[in-house]
Amino acid sequence: MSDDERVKRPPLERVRPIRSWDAGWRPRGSGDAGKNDGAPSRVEDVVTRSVELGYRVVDDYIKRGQEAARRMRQGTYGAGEIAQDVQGVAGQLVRSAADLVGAWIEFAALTGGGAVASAADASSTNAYGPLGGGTTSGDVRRDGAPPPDVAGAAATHAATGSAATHVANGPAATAANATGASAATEPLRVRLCVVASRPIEAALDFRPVPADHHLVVYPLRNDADGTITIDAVKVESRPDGTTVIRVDVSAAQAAGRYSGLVVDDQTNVPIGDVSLVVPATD
Amino acid sequence: MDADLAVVPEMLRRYGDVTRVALARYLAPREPQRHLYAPVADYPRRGGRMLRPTLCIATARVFGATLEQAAHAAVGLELLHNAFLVHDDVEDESEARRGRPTLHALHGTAVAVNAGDALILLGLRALIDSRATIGPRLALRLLEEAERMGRESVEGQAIELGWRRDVALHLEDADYLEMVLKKTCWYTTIFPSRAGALIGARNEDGLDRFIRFGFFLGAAFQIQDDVLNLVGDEARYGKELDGDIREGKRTLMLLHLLRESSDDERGRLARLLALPRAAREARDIHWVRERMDARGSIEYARQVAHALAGAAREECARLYVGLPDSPDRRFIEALPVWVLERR
Repeated sequence: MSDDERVKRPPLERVRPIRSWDAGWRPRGSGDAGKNDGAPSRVEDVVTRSVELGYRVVDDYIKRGQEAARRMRQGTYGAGEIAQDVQGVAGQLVRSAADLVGAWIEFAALTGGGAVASAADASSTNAYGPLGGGTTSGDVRRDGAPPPDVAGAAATHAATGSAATHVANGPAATAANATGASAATEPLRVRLCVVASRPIEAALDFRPVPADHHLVVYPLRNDADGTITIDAVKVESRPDGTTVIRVDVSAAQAAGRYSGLVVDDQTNVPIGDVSLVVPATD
Repeated sequence: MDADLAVVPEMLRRYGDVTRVALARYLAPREPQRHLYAPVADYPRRGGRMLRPTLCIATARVFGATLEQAAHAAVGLELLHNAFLVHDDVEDESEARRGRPTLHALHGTAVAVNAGDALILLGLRALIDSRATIGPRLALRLLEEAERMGRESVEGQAIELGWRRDVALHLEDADYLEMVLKKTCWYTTIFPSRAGALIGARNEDGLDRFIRFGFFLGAAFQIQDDVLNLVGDEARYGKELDGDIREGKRTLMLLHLLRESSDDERGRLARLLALPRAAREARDIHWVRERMDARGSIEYARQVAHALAGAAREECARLYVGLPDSPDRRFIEALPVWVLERR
């Protein structure tokens, strides 16, 4: 090449992404993808290209969703406000954000006129896999963590003796480290207190929310007959930062299974439920 | 049948029966019977494979749920599936479904569309009823999942309808896969898996991983279904053979044929696809079918289906590693091969 000859970029072989695997491996110079070159596709090529293209399509799809979620989540926690018209979408994102922080759920069962009952560590069953920690006591704090490499692990600890059940969903505490979640997003500490004159089986199914969020708990409704309710449900904020969900069950309460939604007041997103099983009186 | 695959029909039968019993409650005769509830109950009673509810229940059980906890979701899913079939048959102008005339062919379009609407509402009712077994929060999450599934499905259907309406010819395989991801995979494999995991684990962490598995499994399923439309046994397949060609459906085989055809052939194909469905004659359909054989389009689609099924197996192994062995897990693991073995 002489010194005065201008360096030129060679013509582009393609100007669009390769979105068709058989077009992608077609030999150079065989014409456009629409032309029949007469050569049947080799099985190995088709297989390889199919899988590559499949992963590209599905990963692009997932990535788009994740990016949308990340943008929304930053909005949720950055500005601290969510426009009313995007609350539906934001709800999903708040849940994603909740995955990044540890859960802190406390449980207390009170029977016999408000005395704190110690729930015996009589049994412990896991719906799937082991959960860190293993005993259930009258006042339990748990940093829920799922078993490693498990999608959506959950654990159920059933305690008999005081007829109490504690259900803690395990958020990905490890994910917080992996994704660099801010320490500022401390989880809200929640305590469930049930006051009853007879043994009550209680469960709190709860996803973590940031510590500065407030909860709303709806009256508990009988699963078989929605007109029968337990209305004495209160949410109290304690000076130590703990939120207490207190449910008073009257002696005359009809037997049955009751449940009520726990809603994050900031986002209006349901983040859990309280359920009680009220036994029949003798 | 391979020992690993034998678990599939067994589980389809077992959980299919459970679903049918629970389904009967939502399909009980009532007024207006003749013009609503009889047509509503028609498709569900024609006896589908129950793949979707079985996948939902099996996934839920793998993650620790009871049968009772998963049953409502399975019923809701089956009702929504049948609603989509009714509406799809109208939109596609299909003539046969599960070996019998389509609902709109029997009752007219208006009654069929209304029955499809009712099936959607019944499906939502079943999901709401799951509150009694899984609690209100998870029931709400299920409804959210169902809403997303429905939205993805109608978006996928819109993409495909748009291709036909606009006589789209320059589609690529990635376009097809994106459409299938939305239209088929979400309600056939992704939603059943995600719903089952949600119910079993009571936790939504990691649900996105089911998108990959569901996509590969569902795409392999759809491509094989499209192949069966050309080469299957009509009595077993339950739909009119070559119906997809008659409808101008953009299948992988058709896209391949469009790419591989000579200019003359492509021109004839384009003119044919521009015609309304009723104007496509039997000899045209036969010609397209013959060209697909000549150009290797069906074999090509089979190879793609096998490749995607292989990726589904890989994703499945990642998802369920460490979980205890059970018929439910074996059923899920066998599905990628089973979808290819269907006749």
